[in-house]
Amino acid sequence: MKILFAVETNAGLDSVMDSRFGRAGYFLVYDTDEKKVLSVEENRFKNEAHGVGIKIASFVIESGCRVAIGAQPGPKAAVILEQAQVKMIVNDKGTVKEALERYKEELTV
Amino acid sequence: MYIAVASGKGGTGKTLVSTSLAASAGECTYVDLDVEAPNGSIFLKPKIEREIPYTLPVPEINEQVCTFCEKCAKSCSFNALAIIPPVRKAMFFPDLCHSCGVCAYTCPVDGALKEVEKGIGKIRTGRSGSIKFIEGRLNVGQPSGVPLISGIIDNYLDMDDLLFVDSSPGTSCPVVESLKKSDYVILVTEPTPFGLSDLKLTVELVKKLGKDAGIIVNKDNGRKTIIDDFSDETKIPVILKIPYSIDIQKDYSKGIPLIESLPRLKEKFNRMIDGITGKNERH
Amino acid sequence: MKDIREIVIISGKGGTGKTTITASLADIMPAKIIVDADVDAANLYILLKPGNIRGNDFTGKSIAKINRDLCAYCNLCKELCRFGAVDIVNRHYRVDPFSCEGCGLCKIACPVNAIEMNEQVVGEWFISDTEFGDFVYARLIPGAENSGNLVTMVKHQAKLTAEEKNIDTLLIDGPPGIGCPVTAAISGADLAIIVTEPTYSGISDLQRVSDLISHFNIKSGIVINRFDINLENTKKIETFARERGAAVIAKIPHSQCIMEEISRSHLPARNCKVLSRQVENIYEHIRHELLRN
Repeated sequence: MKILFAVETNAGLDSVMDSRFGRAGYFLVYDTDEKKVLSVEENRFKNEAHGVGIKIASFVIESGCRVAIGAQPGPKAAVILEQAQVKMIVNDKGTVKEALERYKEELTV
Repeated sequence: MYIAVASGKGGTGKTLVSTSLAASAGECTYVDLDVEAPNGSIFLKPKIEREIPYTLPVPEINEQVCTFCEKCAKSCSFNALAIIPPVRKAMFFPDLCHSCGVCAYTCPVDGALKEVEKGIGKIRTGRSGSIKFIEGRLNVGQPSGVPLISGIIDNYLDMDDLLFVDSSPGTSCPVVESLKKSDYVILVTEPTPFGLSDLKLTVELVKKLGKDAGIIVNKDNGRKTIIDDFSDETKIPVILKIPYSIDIQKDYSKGIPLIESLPRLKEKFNRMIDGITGKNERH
Repeated sequence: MKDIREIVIISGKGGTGKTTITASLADIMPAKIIVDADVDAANLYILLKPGNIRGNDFTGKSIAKINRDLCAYCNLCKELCRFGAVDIVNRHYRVDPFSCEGCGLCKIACPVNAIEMNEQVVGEWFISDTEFGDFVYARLIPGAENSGNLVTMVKHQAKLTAEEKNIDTLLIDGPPGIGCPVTAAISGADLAIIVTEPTYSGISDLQRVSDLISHFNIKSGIVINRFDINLENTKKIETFARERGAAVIAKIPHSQCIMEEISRSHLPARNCKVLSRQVENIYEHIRHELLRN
């Protein structure tokens, strides 16, 4: 299963989580089955004047991710992800590695 | 003649001045284009004759016919559409939509996307004595008053009338729209550093639009002020000074028009209006 | 990002005294980042007198431009444009930058690809130092669209500065009105302070801005400025506040002292007791509300 992380830096699993979702620096896609980072892309929508969250949500869906982890998205992005049945987890602290650990812990609770 | 009343800063007395101009002139049209907060009716107390809902076209997608090709979402410059192919859903965000028609133009499938009318505000028209009254009122939550303003200017104004147009405060798009077709702009300010700072911004805009302008100083203290200095520098004349008075403020708080609080101002207003309209004829 | 508390001062109606009150609060509050989110008419700098000002360009919507050499004079762009932004000037087709919405319909439709969309610099944002703390503000270019994006940028830069300096509070001077810039200013706020005046216009705009605040579910406190110019209207505001479950947290009398201090670009609360007492009340309310969390 693929998870998308909204990150500030491009450093693989050590990438720091971004304090913003729609205007995050990069998007990192991690595959939990293959246990590896599939891709890190620069956020080409971050300077859009309006409705950037909408573009991001579409991007998340296109990337085939079932889960997205990052800062609180705007209401429009949130509703699109919900409609697309992508689970949004609000967590913008630490690194991808730490966020992934936390995600796994919460799954087993 | 289209005389616009503007002020960079809010609370300087724009509505006070524009309604007083209309009340002094008598035979004229007062247009309230401060559509987010139209307050002119508080002072002119018009008898409203018509209330017309104002609508704009927005997309409506038929999910049964749509092929989820995403052309509309990808061509929308405002990201007002989101198409989700895996679950066959099309989502529209009305507060981002500018009603530009790009989505309808780009949709390749007959019947998948059509434009429907959505209410964004209303226009009220009526009379206050001999004054014709027109007001735009934007619905709370609507992002932009610009289409309502241009809708009123294009369809409800008789350019042969003497028009006093109250614009929004500030210097962004709604103000630009209200000033574009004006023949003269009255800038209302106050003799404080805040007033001057915002006056400078509005003058920048007025110059960009190439408009003739004059300054009214409200809450004047009787001395030479930083506004007078600015007027000397820029050659934009101060055409009237309204004295600061706690009584005027009290009357304003009760919705009493300025020329009732200070009847001698009526003559000054009329002379000022003649100066402006006479100037126009000479051109 | 750590939990940053945001206090935003708004007014509905312009000219009620928002900026004066924000500056007065900045003078007595400890450890905060000060933000002027009224990017259309930024005035807080007049009272805070910033130094070490670092500026950055801010780009906004794109504007269409017709390449005269490629233009086929087919008139299609003019027919299709819903904003009347295509003119014919000296027999050439030209886009009026003051009317162009940036939708790109002309570019899409143009049969000879003669139109391109160019991003515009619509303003500038600044980070600066003041005797009251770090101060972030911005200036929109007159005529530009005020959609709230510059407001969002200014708040974001303030949050980054807060993180850097280990400060957990943002004091935000908000814009007047009820449109997008206000929504951008209040989104994420922990407390909204609504400054109003006892005039019919003031009351009408207070109602509209209160509706907006409730929609966002933000706690609010009301300040009535120049309350003594109309005691009856002041009572109306107090009744309205009770009905909405909002507190009137301060009532500032009209004062010559305040006006004179402002005229000299001085902080009025330093010299005018009637104001300083009320500003302390406002600050008490802020502390009380934010401590409760």
